[in-house]
Amino acid sequence: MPKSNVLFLIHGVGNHSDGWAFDAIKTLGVAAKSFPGFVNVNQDDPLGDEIDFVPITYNEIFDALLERFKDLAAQFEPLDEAQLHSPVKKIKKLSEEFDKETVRYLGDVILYRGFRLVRNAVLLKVMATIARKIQSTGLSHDGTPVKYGVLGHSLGTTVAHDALHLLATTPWLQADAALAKLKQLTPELGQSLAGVVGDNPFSPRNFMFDAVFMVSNTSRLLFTTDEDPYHSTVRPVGPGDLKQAVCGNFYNFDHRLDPVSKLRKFRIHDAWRPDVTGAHEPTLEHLYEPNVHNLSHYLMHPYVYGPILGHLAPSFSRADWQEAWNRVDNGAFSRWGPEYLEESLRKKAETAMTKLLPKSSSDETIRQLVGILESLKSLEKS
Amino acid sequence: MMNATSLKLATALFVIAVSASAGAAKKQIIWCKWNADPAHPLSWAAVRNELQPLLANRNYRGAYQLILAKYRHAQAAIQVNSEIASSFEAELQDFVEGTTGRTSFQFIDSGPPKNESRLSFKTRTIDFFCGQDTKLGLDGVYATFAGKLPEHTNIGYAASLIFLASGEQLEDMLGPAGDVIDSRATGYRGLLLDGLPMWPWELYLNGKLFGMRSLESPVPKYQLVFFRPSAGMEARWPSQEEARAEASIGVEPIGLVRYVGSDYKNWWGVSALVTLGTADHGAGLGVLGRYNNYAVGVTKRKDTEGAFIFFSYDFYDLVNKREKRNRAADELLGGLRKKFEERKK
Repeated sequence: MPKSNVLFLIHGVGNHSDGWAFDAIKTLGVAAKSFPGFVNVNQDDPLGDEIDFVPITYNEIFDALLERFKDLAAQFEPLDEAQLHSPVKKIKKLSEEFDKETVRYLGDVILYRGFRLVRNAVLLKVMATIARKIQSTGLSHDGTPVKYGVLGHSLGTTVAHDALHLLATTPWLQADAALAKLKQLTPELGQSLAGVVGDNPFSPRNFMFDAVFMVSNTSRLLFTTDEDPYHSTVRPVGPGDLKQAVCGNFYNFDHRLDPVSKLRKFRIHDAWRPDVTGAHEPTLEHLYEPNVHNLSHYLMHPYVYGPILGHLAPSFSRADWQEAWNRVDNGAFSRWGPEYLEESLRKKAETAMTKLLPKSSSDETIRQLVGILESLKSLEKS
Repeated sequence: MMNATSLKLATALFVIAVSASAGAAKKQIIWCKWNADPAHPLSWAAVRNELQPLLANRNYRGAYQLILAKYRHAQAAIQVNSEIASSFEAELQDFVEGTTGRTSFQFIDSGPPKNESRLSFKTRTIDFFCGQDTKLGLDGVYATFAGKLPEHTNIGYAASLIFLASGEQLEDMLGPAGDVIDSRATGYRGLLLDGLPMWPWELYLNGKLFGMRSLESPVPKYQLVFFRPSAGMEARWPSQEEARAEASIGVEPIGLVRYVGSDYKNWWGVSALVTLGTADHGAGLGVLGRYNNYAVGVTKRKDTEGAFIFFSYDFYDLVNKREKRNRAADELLGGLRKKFEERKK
């Protein structure tokens, strides 16, 4: 039986294997189980029949490229060090750095941002996964539309932004191969193609994601599209905006203490007019673990899981959605996790995170971002 | 003659009465996550038998005209025609004519605190307030909604129908578009991970030269070679006695690679070549030809007569491996021969 709705998950920097989204899906499942609509579902996999999670990976492209750089440098290994000319020695030395964690972080971001061919490969992989999944799932089941959502985390928000904008604005059906295939379809379809569908089935006039969830949004710092995130098509639909909006709802989840999203911070009220009603930016201040940047830490908050389940899980009723909202207001969801009930511990954790927040606009660089990501890792380990 | 109020009441009662016998119908979700009333004249269940043959024959225009006619009929039945209804009918008409998109008919859900579903098209927006939730949808809130707002109900059902029907037309386009995206994704991946490995500066330059095209365009089949260092062997044999080989570093200041086939696993190329041997022969200048990972170059040096032959490390490695294989085979054959001789004795 096909699952109801689909959520694409796009990861951040660092190593991500195929199972990278396991914790995130588990966190959403634990949240779902606490609502009446999920009493009778399989408790081991409460969202199994509700949401088809599609984790998308792209870091294998970065990893393979860094390996290729290493292999290229390795050809000089059989040569005697004394025989090498100075520039070649430098190249060889540089390649020895590729395994360091900083270089992997920096490498991911720089390869994506600075190298057009790499970016094309990454974005096309993400777009191809999304396009194929929508094609295979279809747009409706038994008279009910299938809903699609996209969730990006950290660097994944930039990749999600860039991929969704390009998916919506590239004239895919102008390619020769696509035109040839379309000609095989009925004449009626051929005639109406230009008028009804145009040259891109994923353009905003034809297709809209129900919701886009940006978790710790880095898109303003790292975007690579011709339009910046405040002016691109990755926006919720507003009055008169139908031809420019790729989604019905846009959620910008930004924890107060998360330093990653503070570099060229994305702010809803700076981005769009107040009458764009599908834009949401709830206040998040909870503290359950030292690294508040973690995706799972975001997802445990009712203001975050509420909209995800509300838009995409059929059994999560409107009343459940309201209940999730109320859990913050009535204190059922505590702002402090069990390890932070003591005020001194809270203060210690908050101070550690506050130290990482960028202090001035001159800090808003990719190197600063990498520094923050490294510090978060060491904070987690300590 | 019935007045508008009694008509609305009748609609509400009808909805409630029909809901009892609706259990067998397939579930259709409409706005606010409510289950559709299969007895509504614009529900999927009510029009499916007429609509599906048109969709199956890809007569989409016919399908949209049928929905428009059904909508007009449903509006005539409730005898209420406000500005909202006229505006929506104009939008439907535009869609049939192909001048507006299908997302005009997509419900946009909002959770708390708004708790509404919204239709948004070029002239206006229509809000469907969801109110208190009901799992069944056919009693309580939905019935009240349908009874109080029969116009909104008709608009909502008609929008759902257009959205579903046009989805089938769009599905026809997803395959060809997906094929193009897939082939470009495979192409760029092949160029990066299966083609001639690029040094970082080559990767950057090739991106500037060939990667700026729009993504629906074919993936580049050429690759620039630029200040590309490679380790190898350089050999010279003016005579049998003077023949010698030495480790060498070749640098290709400029060159071009052309890929053969669509998988980026085969290529050939030509480059200018500068070699810097380990012995004191000065720099060699010449040309290099490559096929896949193997490259051979010919260089000349200022104060040395005759040509030097440069083999890249991969090529040298290939020859070396072959030599080792031959030596191993010789040893094996020698061993067998020895054993055979011993047996013979």
